[in-house]
Amino acid sequence: MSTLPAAPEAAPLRRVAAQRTLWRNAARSFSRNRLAMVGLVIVAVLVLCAAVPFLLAPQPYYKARLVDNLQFPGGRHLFGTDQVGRDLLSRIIYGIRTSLVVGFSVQAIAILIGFPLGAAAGLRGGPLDFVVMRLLEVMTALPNFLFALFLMSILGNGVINVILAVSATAWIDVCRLTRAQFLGLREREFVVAARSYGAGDWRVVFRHLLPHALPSLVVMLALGIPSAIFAEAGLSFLGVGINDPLPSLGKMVSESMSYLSVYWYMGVFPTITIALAMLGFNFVGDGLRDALDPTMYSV
Amino acid sequence: MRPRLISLIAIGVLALAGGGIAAADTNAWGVTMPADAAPLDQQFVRLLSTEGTTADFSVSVYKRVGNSYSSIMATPFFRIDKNFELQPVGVTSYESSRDGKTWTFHMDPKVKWSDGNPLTADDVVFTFQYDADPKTAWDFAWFWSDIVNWDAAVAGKVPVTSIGVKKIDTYTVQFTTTVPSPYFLSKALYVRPLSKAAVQKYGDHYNNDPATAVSSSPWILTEWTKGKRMVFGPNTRYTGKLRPYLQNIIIDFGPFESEFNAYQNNEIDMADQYSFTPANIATISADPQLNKEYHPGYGDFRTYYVGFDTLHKPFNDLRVRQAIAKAIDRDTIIKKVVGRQGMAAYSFLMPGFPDANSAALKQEFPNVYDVKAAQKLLADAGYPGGKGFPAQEMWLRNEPALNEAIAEAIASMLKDNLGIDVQVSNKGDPKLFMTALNAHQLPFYFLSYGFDYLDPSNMLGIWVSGGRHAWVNPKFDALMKDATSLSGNKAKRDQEFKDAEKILVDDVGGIFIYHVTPGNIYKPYVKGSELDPDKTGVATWHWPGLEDVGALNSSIYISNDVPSDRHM
Repeated sequence: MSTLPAAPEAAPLRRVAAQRTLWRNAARSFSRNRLAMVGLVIVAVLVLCAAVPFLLAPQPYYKARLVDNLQFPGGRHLFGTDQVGRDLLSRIIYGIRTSLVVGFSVQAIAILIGFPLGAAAGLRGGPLDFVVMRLLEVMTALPNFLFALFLMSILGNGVINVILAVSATAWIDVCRLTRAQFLGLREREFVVAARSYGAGDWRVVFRHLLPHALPSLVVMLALGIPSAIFAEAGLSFLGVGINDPLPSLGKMVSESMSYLSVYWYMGVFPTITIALAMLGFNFVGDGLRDALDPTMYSV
Repeated sequence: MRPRLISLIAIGVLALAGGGIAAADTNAWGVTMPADAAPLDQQFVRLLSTEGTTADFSVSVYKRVGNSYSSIMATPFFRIDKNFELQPVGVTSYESSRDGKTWTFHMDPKVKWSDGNPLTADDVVFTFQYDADPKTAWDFAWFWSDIVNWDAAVAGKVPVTSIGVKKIDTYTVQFTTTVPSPYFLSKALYVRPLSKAAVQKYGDHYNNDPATAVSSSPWILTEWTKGKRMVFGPNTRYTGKLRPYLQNIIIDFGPFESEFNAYQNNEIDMADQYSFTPANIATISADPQLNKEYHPGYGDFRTYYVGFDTLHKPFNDLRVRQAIAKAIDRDTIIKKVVGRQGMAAYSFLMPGFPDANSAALKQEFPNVYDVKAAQKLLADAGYPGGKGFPAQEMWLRNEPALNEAIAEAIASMLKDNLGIDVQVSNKGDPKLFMTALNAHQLPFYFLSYGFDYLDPSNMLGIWVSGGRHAWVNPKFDALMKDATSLSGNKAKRDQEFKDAEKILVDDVGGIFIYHVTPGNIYKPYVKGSELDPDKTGVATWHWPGLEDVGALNSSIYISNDVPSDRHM
């Protein structure tokens, strides 16, 4: 005759479903991180500039009108014009494209080389690991920038060559990190379990190890993009990077030095853009790290 | 009685005081200072420069301190004044042989080194043999190629004692050249002897240390603090004929980028325009006081030009070169980019240089800006609208911002007017550039040249085939060969050089863009007759500045409107 308490809701089932995928959980965690979302917006704007600069830029980046040179911001030229009358805003938008292309490509190549090497070395150990470790040591001893300079003097100028020259040393950290991660993870119980039911190397790497190594990798890649931007700027400053008229953010900053004390906008705007890019990638990187960290599951 | 005594005393006191005011200072060399000169402790000038490895031109040209400030401890044969005229300093007379191949110089026997030794023909011969010695590897060795056996000695094929520089007697030196050399007198500006005794005793860097420095000029090294500064003070044992006012020259070591700021902070008294950025120029132009202190002049008659590899496609076609020349709007570049730092160039020799003919060559076909004609020429050459024209990379030799901007302007004009893709690459390593240039491996570049000695054979000579330029014109070569060694017929010589330059322009060996009119800035309290207007009305800090071969160093003094807190 007494009423029984109501049956429990189906909520627990929903909670279990929500935990099913790492990515969905990470996305939720990320979206709650305000700083990371700000970073994402910044990165999205930058990627938009890089993808369709011709839609956003008022003028082509090479269009010079000498009679309009060295104009301060305002009027027809929102950010002013440079020493040969090119619109600074347009050059910044195209410069974002150059810098991001270099940044992403360098990191992509770094993964393509560094990840397999590091994975193989970490997983297999033995002589393969020995060889890879020695290779890492030799490459670490080389000064990165000087090596890129040397490669550029052989390859000649251009965006592709800059990407190759900077990638030549960018894979080292990826390789080392991957190897360290895999070394640590390969003895974990879920790997042992997977092996026990006959999982081969490929399955172990991609199904089990990669998701755990991924967070650190993603963070490293996000933070590596600004470093690639600066490397390209340094090379271009010495005349062995990309050639004028193609703009890149770093090159615009270094070339503005001779104009800065009067024509401040030529340096200030590209610098702010680089700073925003760095902030954006840093926030996204930090957000990803927090979101993907298996020990920080938030429900 | 008493009033008269008082007035006598008053007159006496006034006379003494007035006499004290009227009596001018005499400086370390016993020279009476000008009436408006500042006290003796203000008679110094401060400059900024990078630190090199030597003070002497004859030891190294490109590694000298500041590239031009420190060569000041020799008595050269000649020096050059603000009118670019040679003044004998270390020689009393000279003559050449009838065939123009032998030049004999009689040195002033009164000139002594600060260690008491006389400056003799031995020192001159020794200096030349030292410079020809392959062990020295002097970086200016190409300069004396016309001396007999010089090149062979530099290559190590003959002993240095066989070069055509001979001692006739204690104070007489004789130079022999391979071809008649009517221009040799202008080149003799560069005879700046080292002390044979000092080199043999202390080595060739004896002038790096005040303890071992030996000078035959009014100044001698009194301090060289590595990383900080070098100071030249009075050589009280000077016996030559110069009568300078300035007692000390101080060179602070620092990067050239900081030169303008140092001048604005009153840390230095003169700044060399070469280190001025476009922002600095804008600052100078906007500031009335700085503007007054800015004095444009001829500099070293430097001309900037676009160069090609005319021996290979696509620039081997004259029509292509003409098209490019006629597609460049020189006037707008001068007006909007070069501004006060240069003047339009239509030929290689800058107005003011011997045999310059700029006005006559201004209307030559390649010099007339005409986009339609340029497009037609390019189409006739097989590249209508620029289609099929190989993309070019225009190289620059470590140029500052101004010349980068000019190259960028040229590149954009060629793209807009002709449809040619040109990228600009400013090579940070001059050696990389020069190696490619001298090997004729540079298809397209923007470069400059400034004079070494005041003769057309010096400037135009770099266009003779087999040199740095990939351009060959037999008529030009023949005219140059004849004119360079032609003695006794100045009118014919002048005309031959002018004819040669016309060929250079018409055959578009290069496209001449602008002549540099550098404006050094110096403080208003730095005065002297050499800073007054020259015979063309130009008042500036003339080339070569304070070096031993310039008349400036013995002419300038500090006037009494100098700020009293200025100190060494």
